[in-house]
Amino acid sequence: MQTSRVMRKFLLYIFAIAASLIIVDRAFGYANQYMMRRSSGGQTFCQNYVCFDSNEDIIMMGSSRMRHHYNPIIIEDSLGMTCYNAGEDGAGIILNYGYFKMITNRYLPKLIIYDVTNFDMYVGDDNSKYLGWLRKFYDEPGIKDIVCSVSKSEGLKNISYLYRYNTRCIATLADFIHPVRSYVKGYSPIEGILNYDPKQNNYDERVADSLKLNYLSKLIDEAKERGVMIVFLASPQYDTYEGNSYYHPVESLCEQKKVPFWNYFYCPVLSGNKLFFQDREHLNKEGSTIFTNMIVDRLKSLVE
Amino acid sequence: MPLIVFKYFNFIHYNVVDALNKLGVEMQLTGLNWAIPIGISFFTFQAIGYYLDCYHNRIKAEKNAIDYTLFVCFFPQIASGPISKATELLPQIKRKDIFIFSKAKDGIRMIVWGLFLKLVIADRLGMCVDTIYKGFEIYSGFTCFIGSVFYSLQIYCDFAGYTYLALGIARMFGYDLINNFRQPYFSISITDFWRRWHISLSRWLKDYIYIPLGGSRCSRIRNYWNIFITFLVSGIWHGANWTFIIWGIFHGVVQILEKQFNMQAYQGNRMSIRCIRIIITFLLVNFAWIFFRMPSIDDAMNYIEHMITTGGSFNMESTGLTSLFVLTISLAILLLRDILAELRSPIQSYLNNTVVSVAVMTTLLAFILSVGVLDNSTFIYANF
Repeated sequence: MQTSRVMRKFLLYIFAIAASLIIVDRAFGYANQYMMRRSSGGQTFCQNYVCFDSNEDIIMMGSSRMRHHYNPIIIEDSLGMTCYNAGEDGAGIILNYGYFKMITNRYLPKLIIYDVTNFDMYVGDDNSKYLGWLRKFYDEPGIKDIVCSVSKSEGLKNISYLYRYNTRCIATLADFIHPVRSYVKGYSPIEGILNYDPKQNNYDERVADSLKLNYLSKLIDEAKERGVMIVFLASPQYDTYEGNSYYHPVESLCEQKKVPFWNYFYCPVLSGNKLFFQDREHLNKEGSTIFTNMIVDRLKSLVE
Repeated sequence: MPLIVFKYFNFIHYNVVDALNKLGVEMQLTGLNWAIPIGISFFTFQAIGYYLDCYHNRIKAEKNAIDYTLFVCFFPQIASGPISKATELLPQIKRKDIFIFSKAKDGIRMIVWGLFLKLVIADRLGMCVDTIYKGFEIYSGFTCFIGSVFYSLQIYCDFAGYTYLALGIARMFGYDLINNFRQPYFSISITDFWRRWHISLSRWLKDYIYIPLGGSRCSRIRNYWNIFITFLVSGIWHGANWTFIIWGIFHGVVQILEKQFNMQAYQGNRMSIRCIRIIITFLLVNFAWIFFRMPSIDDAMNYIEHMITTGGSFNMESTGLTSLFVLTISLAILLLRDILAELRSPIQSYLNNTVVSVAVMTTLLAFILSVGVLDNSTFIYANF
């Protein structure tokens, strides 16, 4: 009798915590959704723009290498088409496929330029890390399937708004309170030059990630099906060499699907020159201007 | 024997082969590629402690095989401790349990606090530490120093987080286990540090290595030797690598010096002296952790050299603004809690109020879910 009374008290205690947590969870979710849609600067604004408001002819997707390497103004001036840089630091195909779904739910761009990195091809960190950006859009059409394809437990975990906005809530709050507009149509040039000798990377020790390659394949198939042109690029890196086979998985896929893949990973003009790089993987402002000018003629012939 | 085979075979094999090769004897032996049983270092020490207590007639041998097995394999502590004594745990196992609400409530609080330490602080610090340690050559010396401090905090929060989870789960079932930590970074000497850090291991080493060797009831030189051997064993226990041995020896040597110059304790009342000693002790412990973190002595020495000789300010890109923001708040919470615990403040008794307790638990859980690192992670001490 005594034990059951004590046990009941304990269960009530657990229930009180759970109920309070659910209330906090819902309030947190509504607050984040409110702030997300009303942020006028920073990463939050850029993401919202890409997913809900963009209408450019050309959408450029990729990781930080896309964000820092491709100047949309140069492309707009050369091609006479509107262009937006949707590059996202640390992003891979799992996020970018989600972007593609949300964009094409609203309109069809004429061309997608995709800068490929190891985040799109190879096994690296846990793929759950890419979901941090996507979970915010969990309720949008097509996003739930992407999230749950990475991990089956995501379906259960995403019931919680606290989980959905995990860590991203800080950036959302910062962008809502103090919006900073430092991007130019999504492009963010970086200053500085490479001032050290980077350690040699071993490009051979890589294992292809089937989930990522599957999403690359889906991106190509759906783009073709909907009449959207797509081109894949590998932008320059500092410490590369001619004839490297780093992009072999994407090269094979593009050959199979008959889509263009332009490999500038080793670029004789830029690679090996510290003046054009801010670090081993990122071109600085000068380097990105040279690189963008290098590709616009090819883009023009592709589009014409 | 199983501990030596599973944990140290490859280390011994590699060093023997390396030494033979250096002597001109070309030899290649077969390595061991077996999975190490989880918690082997911990439950082996727990079992050895029981055996030695029986041998020295401190306790009677347990006749009930099920009770003994439960003592050795008690699930909350099997992975990474704490290492319990038979005199503490066996009587609790034999007791007819009744459910106690206050213990269960305490258990929940400890579990939530453990999750906070692990997911909010340790794992987020771990992301920063990995970035800095992996590419330390490109960062300034000050950034590397901050990286080393981050690692000191990471290993504390990681291990303390695990310990609170183990204690909390056991407490919910009505069992009391020894707490491994007592605000270790408030230590005023390395000797004091080992009374506050991994307390169950320190106790085990004292009872079963240090005292049987003679402890302090012998000549000064013999006492110093006993301290040295005890911490050499501690280093070896932590891992099959020379870096752990160097780490253990460092702690042993510093304690010998403290004993020589009578610096183990501070009996005075001056807060300024106490603070200075806390800072110096932290810096010494922080320095030793570099060897703990690095895969080899060369890597550790390169890191230390780079830290000391390279100028420059803190590189924000090594951590990111979001992580810095989260860490500032969470470390402030940890510092406040540790200060209150150190001062034995009565404020903590307010947590006994159910409404306050529910509010605090809800806040902490919301904080964990919103800013905790919820991707797959492991515990550092699970490797030992």
